[in-house]
Amino acid sequence: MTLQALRRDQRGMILIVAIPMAAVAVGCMFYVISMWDVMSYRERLQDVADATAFESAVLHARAMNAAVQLNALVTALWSLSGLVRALTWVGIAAVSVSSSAQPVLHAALEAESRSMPRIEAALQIVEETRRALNETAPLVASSIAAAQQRDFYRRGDSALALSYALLPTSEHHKLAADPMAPWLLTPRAGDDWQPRFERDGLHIASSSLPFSSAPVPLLCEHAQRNASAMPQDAVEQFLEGASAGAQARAWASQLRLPLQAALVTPLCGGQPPPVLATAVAGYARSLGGGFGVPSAITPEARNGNALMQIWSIARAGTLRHEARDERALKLVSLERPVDVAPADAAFSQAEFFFDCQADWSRCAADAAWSPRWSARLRRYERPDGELGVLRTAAVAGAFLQTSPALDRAIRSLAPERAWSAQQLIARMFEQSPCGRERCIH
Amino acid sequence: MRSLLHDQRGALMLEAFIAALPVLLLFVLLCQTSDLYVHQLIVQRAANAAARAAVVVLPDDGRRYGDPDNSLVDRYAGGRKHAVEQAARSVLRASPSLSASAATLELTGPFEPHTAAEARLSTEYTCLLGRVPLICGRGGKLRLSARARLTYQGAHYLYEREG
Repeated sequence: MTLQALRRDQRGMILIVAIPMAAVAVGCMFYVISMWDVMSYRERLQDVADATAFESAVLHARAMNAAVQLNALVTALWSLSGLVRALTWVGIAAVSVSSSAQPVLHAALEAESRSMPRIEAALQIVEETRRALNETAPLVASSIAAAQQRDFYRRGDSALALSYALLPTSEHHKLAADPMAPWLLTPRAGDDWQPRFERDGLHIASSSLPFSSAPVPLLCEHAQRNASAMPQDAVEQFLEGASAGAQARAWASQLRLPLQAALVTPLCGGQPPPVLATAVAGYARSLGGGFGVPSAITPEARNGNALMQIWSIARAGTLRHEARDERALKLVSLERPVDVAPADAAFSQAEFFFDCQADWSRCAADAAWSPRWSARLRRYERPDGELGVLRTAAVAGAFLQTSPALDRAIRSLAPERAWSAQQLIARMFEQSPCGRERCIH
Repeated sequence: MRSLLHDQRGALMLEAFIAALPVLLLFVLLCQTSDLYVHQLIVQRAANAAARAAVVVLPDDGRRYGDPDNSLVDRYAGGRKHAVEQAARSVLRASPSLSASAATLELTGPFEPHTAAEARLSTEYTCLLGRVPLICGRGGKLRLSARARLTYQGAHYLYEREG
């Protein structure tokens, strides 16, 4: 075809217009879809971080409420055992007044011999339950919260929740201070629960709710107050009903002491009066023998402080979204530098707290006794001061293998299968742009 | 001149040009609509960010917001208000077509635990191609707005004062 013929040829003319317009239309569609995806992803990333932190905090709060109810159960069992002992002493007192009251004493002794082993067994069960709850609840909470958010947007996306409660109970100070401690072996397939906590002789990942193992001073005070306010008239009337007389009243006044001691001594951990030494010796021994006693909230813990906080990270499994996010933002901002946080990770913070309308000095008294523990989101603040211990907590979290992306990153950093979750987590926190000014959420 | 009037060459080109004008306008509208939709997404995201910030910032400890005695806790005022507005603006700044300074943010809600808080954000959008008829009007600007609602994350306990 000659050039002249080509100039006269009108075929394909529409294409000249249609091709650029189609390109523009496709570009517009890509622009909208890409931005929609970026925005959706950012929302989802933050939602996942929030959900992970909040769910973990809710599970912590539920565990605290369960522990509080176990406290109440322990107290009820102790009170029951005190009552049984008191009945025996009433029987002894009655026999002293009148020999005809021997059946009363026999009945009381029979009741004690039957009930006490059961009460002690129940106390042991409660103690075991509480110990299990205390040590596994934070790990289980972190695990459940993270597992539910796995692959949340794309395959490989993951989330992780960290808290002080994940810290190993006995060795966490040593671990936090020891730079070599984080170097641990990755968990293997088929690992059961226990080896995850103890690997190569190192106790790494037991955890604890903020309950101390010390007896509750408050309960002791309550018991003393209640025992001293014990209605002497009622005791007198009972004895008078059994065998009236001045001697009964004299015994009644003395009976207050053993009643008080039977209730208070085990709870306060003090020495029993000499007259009751034999009777309460079993109780005193049982205090050191693993029987349950109500436990107080850890003295360092208080509403709003770091011990009650959960920090979470939601992280993209690949860098694909990050790169596309940056491209899309450059497109919309026309290459202007954008002052927004990168989208490869989102951070969130939640807390569990004791719901009372006062400051901690007033709330602490009820915190171990009332199941009013709750959870809420907090404004995220990078845990600068707590990074050292959070690194240790990260070991516990990472050990649960709830984060495939984290696990892959760890393996890529340490191909010989030795790894440092601490360093990785610390780097993620340190590199996060979420200071007070840039990320307000 | 007469020969020019009888000359039919280029007639199709003229026809095609006239016919292409509405098509071109259609595509301009398509671009503008796309851009508008994208910016509506950004405004919605900013409203979400404001609501998310509000539900955690308003009940937060006042030491971060120049309110050490927490007299303004659970109120949209002072440093807390500034922080919530900052959260919305940080998203709006992603696009030069959106005016962060002209943005208005309203928060409504009882600001009590277990209740809802709603953020209404409105800002000015500068159209992509200036005064495109039918969409942006004469001023070349539109007011975009969005709302978001979240559960307020307050608590009844009192923060402890320093010292």
